[in-house]
Amino acid sequence: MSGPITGHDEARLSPSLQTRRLHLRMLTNEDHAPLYRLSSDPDVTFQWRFRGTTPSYDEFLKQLYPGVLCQFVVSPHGSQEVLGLVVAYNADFRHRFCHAAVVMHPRLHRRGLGIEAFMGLARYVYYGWDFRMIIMETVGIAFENFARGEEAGYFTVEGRIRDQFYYGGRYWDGISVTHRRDQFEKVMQGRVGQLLAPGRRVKVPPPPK
Amino acid sequence: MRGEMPTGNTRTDVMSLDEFKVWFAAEIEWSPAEITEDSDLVEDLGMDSVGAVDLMAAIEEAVGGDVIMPIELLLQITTVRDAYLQYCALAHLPYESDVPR
Repeated sequence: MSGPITGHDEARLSPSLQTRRLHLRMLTNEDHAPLYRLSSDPDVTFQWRFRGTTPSYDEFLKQLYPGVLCQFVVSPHGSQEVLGLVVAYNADFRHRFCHAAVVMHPRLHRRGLGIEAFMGLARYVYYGWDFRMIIMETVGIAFENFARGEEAGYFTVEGRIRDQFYYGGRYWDGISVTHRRDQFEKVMQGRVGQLLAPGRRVKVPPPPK
Repeated sequence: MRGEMPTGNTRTDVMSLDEFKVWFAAEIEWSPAEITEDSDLVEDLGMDSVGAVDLMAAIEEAVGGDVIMPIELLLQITTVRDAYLQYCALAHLPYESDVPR
């Protein structure tokens, strides 16, 4: 196949956990320690659930599973490296929505890989459950990482609590966004659809020693 | 200005750096009209994650659309010049395999 990928084929819902650069895989015991380390990374901790606190390893594990509908470790193709975690949780089957969270290693921030991982999760969730929307709660500083998302139709900002969270010497807004099923179908028709499209990999030489 | 994706193992019609800058300013929606090769994508041009998705997809399309920008190359992009270098790498590196589905 050659020529630009339109993403049209990728708009179809699928149970696939493969995205263009990533695979979403089952969480195993071996992933617990890397995730624990990630949860305490200074560039991550205030935006993740522990908000800068340092739970014990056992407490961290206890809080990793309750309320979870499905969660996947984010890894590159051909590797088990832990790049992040995507989680769908607090599902409401009566009103047909769930919440979702994405955490990625700081070196991957502002590279689009968190969006790629989220779209992979959304495709899986919308395939498996008749949800109308996925809700995400985020903090202002993290929101800046994908501020163009609403304009591009990735999601809708539904609410904002001014100055909700404190860190870094200032207060940040708490922001609620929704990603609705029709938004998923619509953005998949455009360039974003390429995030879930298959393609050909190139051989990257190892970095010089 | 897009490159062709021939049936062989390399892509052709690779842009020069000057051509790439013109292409970048025209093709990347969030790009200002005037950029330099030293422009930092995040600090100077305001690239966010959504912008990165645009850039990644546009570069992949520029080399034919079927080739994946690897994470290793993606992480080396800080400036417009870096983006050009990784575009060139993507155009010239040999294929590995198809992505399993």
